[in-house]
Amino acid sequence: MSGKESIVQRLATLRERLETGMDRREFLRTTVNAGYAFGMARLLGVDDFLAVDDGSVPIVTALVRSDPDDPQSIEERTTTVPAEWYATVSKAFELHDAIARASITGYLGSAVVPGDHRSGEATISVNVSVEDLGRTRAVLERILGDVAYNVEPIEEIDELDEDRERIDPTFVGDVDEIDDYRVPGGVGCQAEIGMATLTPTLYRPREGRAYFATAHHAYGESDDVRGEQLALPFEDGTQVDLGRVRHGHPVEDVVAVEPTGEYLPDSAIEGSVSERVRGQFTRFGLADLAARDEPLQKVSALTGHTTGDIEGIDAITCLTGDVCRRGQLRWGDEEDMADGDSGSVSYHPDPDAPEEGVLVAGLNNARTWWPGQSYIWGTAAYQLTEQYGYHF
Amino acid sequence: MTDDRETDRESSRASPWRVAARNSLRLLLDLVVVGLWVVLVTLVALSTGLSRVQFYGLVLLGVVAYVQVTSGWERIGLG
Repeated sequence: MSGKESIVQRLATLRERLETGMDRREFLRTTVNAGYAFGMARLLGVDDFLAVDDGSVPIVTALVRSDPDDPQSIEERTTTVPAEWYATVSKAFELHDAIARASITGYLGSAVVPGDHRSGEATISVNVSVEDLGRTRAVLERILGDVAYNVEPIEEIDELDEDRERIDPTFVGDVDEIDDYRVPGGVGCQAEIGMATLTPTLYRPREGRAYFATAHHAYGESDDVRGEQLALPFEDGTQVDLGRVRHGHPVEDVVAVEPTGEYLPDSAIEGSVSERVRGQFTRFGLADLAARDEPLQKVSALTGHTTGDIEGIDAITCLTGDVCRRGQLRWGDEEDMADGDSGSVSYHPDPDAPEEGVLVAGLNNARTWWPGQSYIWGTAAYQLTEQYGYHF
Repeated sequence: MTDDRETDRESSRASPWRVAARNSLRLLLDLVVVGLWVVLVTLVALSTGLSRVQFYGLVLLGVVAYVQVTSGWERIGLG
């Protein structure tokens, strides 16, 4: 009897122990550990890439100065896009980078062309020289596999066609048109060799400076153009000094010109339209614009204000110069770009606050000159930020 | 059983430093194991594109399972 009783008693004690002491301790331990695990996941930034439950993911589309006068006050614009679209576009970015690194004979460039959000598609457009078309296809097939791509053969023509009608540049009328000695983007400027178009203020927070900027090739082929002058010409033929080149980036085709006179750059674009510039788009911001068929605009000294669709983003081009240029944006129509338009920027209204101003997509540095394709291209703003820490 | 617990408590009372050391060691082990688990699930999520619910569910499941298994050993040890 007593033996049986002791067994029951033992069982009861064991159950009590299991139900009270151990379980509470277990619960506490689980809670503490789970809290720690979730905290750590948050710290790792897991939320940034996790798909939310309706099959969409958040992306950062733009970097905007919340205080227009403070280049350090950068805030992010975000939106949600379908997870499938995000995955396809990300994969296209990766593969297109793989093609560029594979050093394929005859490879002249490529770009990612995002499809609309609902389709969840993205195409890689590859430029190949006509002579190497045959053997390149096999290599591309191997790298790209089941990803959608198309091959655009390019017949290499060295000379730019000269039969285009000449357009006269429009310069700033006179000094009175410049308010407070602040020079906006979109107006013509005079470099050592040729004329070009000014960008809106190019900031470099690391140095705490605000620069005038324009195309590097307006200073010719030289790789080192530091110290060269940039001037602002007026319609009457006179001109004033804006500053001297402090940084030159031949690959990205941009020079940062330090103001030396009384004139300073302005975060604005002036021409037939007048816009305030508040920031710039990210790579995925451009992909999102392309997916939504949102047009870009520009204001430049020769062709003025034009509008066009995005043709390809994150492009690589090996057509000009000795090295391939990365982070290029293709958009618009080749007719809307003339030689003195280099240095102008493409832009689109701030998606969250269209009335507050516009955001820069990229520079306009060149245009197509071969048959079959027609677009303007140039280094995207995010590339300047990633490489050198500049931003608009 | 009751006796065991009594002695256990007595020994705990007798050397609080040892208990503290043992507990902090266990806590540290928990943090390391759970930390590695989070990193592992994060890597899985990165390569497969898990949804938020799936990710946090998997993390929690791992933690619960880990606590169950480890305290199970302890129970056996004590019993």
